[in-house]
Amino acid sequence: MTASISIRNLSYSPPIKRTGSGSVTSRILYIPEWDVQPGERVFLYGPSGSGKTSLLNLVCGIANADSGQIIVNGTDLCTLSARAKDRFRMQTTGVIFQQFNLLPYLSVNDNIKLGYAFSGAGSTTAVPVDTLVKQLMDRLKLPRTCLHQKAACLSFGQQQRVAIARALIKSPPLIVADEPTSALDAETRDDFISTLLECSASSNSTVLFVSHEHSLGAHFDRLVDLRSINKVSHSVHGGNSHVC
Amino acid sequence: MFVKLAVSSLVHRRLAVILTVFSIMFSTFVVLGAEHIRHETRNSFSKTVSGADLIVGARTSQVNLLLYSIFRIGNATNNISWSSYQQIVSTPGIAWSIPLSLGDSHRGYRVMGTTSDYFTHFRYGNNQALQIIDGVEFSDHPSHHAGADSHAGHDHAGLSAVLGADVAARLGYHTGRDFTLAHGLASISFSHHDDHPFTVVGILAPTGTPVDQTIHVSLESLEAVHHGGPTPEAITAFLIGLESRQDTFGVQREINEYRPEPLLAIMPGVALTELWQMMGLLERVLALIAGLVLVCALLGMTTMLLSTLQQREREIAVLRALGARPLFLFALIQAEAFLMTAAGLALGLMLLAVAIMLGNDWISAEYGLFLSANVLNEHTFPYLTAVLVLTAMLACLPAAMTYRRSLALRLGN
Repeated sequence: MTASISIRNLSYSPPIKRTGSGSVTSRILYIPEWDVQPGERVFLYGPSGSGKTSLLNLVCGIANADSGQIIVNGTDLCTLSARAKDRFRMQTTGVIFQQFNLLPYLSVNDNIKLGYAFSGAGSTTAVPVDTLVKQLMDRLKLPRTCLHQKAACLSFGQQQRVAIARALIKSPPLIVADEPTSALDAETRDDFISTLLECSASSNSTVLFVSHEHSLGAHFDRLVDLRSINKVSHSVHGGNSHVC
Repeated sequence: MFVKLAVSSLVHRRLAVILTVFSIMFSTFVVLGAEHIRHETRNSFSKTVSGADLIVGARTSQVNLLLYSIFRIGNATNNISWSSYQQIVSTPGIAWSIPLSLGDSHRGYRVMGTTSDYFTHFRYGNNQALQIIDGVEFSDHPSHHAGADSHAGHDHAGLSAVLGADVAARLGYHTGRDFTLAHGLASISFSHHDDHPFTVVGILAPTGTPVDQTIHVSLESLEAVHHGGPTPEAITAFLIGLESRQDTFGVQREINEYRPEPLLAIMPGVALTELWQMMGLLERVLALIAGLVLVCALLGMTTMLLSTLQQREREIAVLRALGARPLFLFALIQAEAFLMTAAGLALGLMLLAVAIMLGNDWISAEYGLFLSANVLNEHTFPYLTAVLVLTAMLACLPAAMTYRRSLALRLGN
């Protein structure tokens, strides 16, 4: 069985910000080799600024690598066009943000269905979407009464659960979460993580969970320190000579 | 989902959206109102005179004579003596003439003294004759006994009037109804001709011209009221029909060079053209102002869209993460702009239609203008299209910025 995420010789520099004093491109990621197996729940940690979010952007196909391979679910993202990447992300990856996951002016129901909105061809699941939404709400312990409420009316903890529901509705092979618990209190946080892992297990989704809080790692199968796979620090002084 | 997204996003920011839509609505009202009135005015004015080759009045400007004689706007500077009138219309080549005598009113409606030739020869619109739908014409010589009788026992039989369609409808007068004239034009006048009541003998079919606003009486009965005599002393203006159109310039010059008193003969078409030329500059200025008002409203909308981009950055990030293409976000902003403009245009058109329906009676009574409430026609259509195209062009700015931001967007902060 192929790996869920397979990275080879990945090199990444953030886009150049135009400044008055000219521009310097500095590479922040160089990952020679890293794999995540299907269904694995990976906790990726590291200090702020170590490149965690950049790696997520690359895996989602939102950012473009300088060179190397990022194979997600058997497809090399670096070979896809921008449009194909958007389509691929819609089909393959469920994304949960730190905060502001939901569009405040849409109802909970519409926010969850938004996960489907960009598929173009529509869903091909046997279960009607409305039923699916209700099932997810039940599993995530969200009261059905809030189905038609505006997302902005929910508590923050509930909003993050709705974000899980939206990520899960298309049963994506990969779920990517970018510090989704950073604004939750300790109790809600543990509850959120266990719910996320339970639900992703039932859809056999791989989970890539990024956080700087090392203590959260206890819930996960595998803990990865970004600094151990990112070799860029060794080449800081080498500059551009290291590009593959 | 696309439309739902655009609509809910607008509803979410409803205060700014409502104000923007209102500004588009009012500027649409101004732009289309100005255009509609301009068009309808021309239409209405050119419908009013038909058939008459020359209009003759006391010497004044072409436009002034046209306005007071045909459109009942403004007043004559001077009268024409009856003898001059008689002398001119006896010139060979003149087929018919209609004398017009203005100056009295009844409850705000102008009373016009004329002869039965008016019903025979007057034409409006596309060479249409006047039609009496109820009753009969007045007779030209009522005062043979009426003049004498009115002194004796206020027997007013013979003083008859034919009402325009609007006058009859607005005052609720039917044939057989008696009324008295007031001197001057105010609806409440202190100088009444109470001892000479008129009787409605006929009502005209609607024409969509100032005829509908006029009370027609015979010249002689008007004289009976004013002077007690049967022979008119003076009239305000007269219309002439020629036997041959080719004589128009000759007859016109003859009248303009008439010795006994200074007169002016005008060709209605030429005078109308001069009127449009005079109005042309005003119309252009009005169109320019109206256009600028509209552009301001659309710029306001663009500003509103731009100013909300900052706060929508998270929204854009969410949509991108879910797989929305940058083009989708471009289209979303365009759709929001389109919805706001379309709503503004629709409301503006409705406002205009309602305003015309409510104001029509007043406008037609005051200015003799008949505006159609059909504001969505082939003349307003190009405007609506132009506004929507302009909207799409202006909305390209916020839409393109959204597009670019969404390309550069990353998860995290």
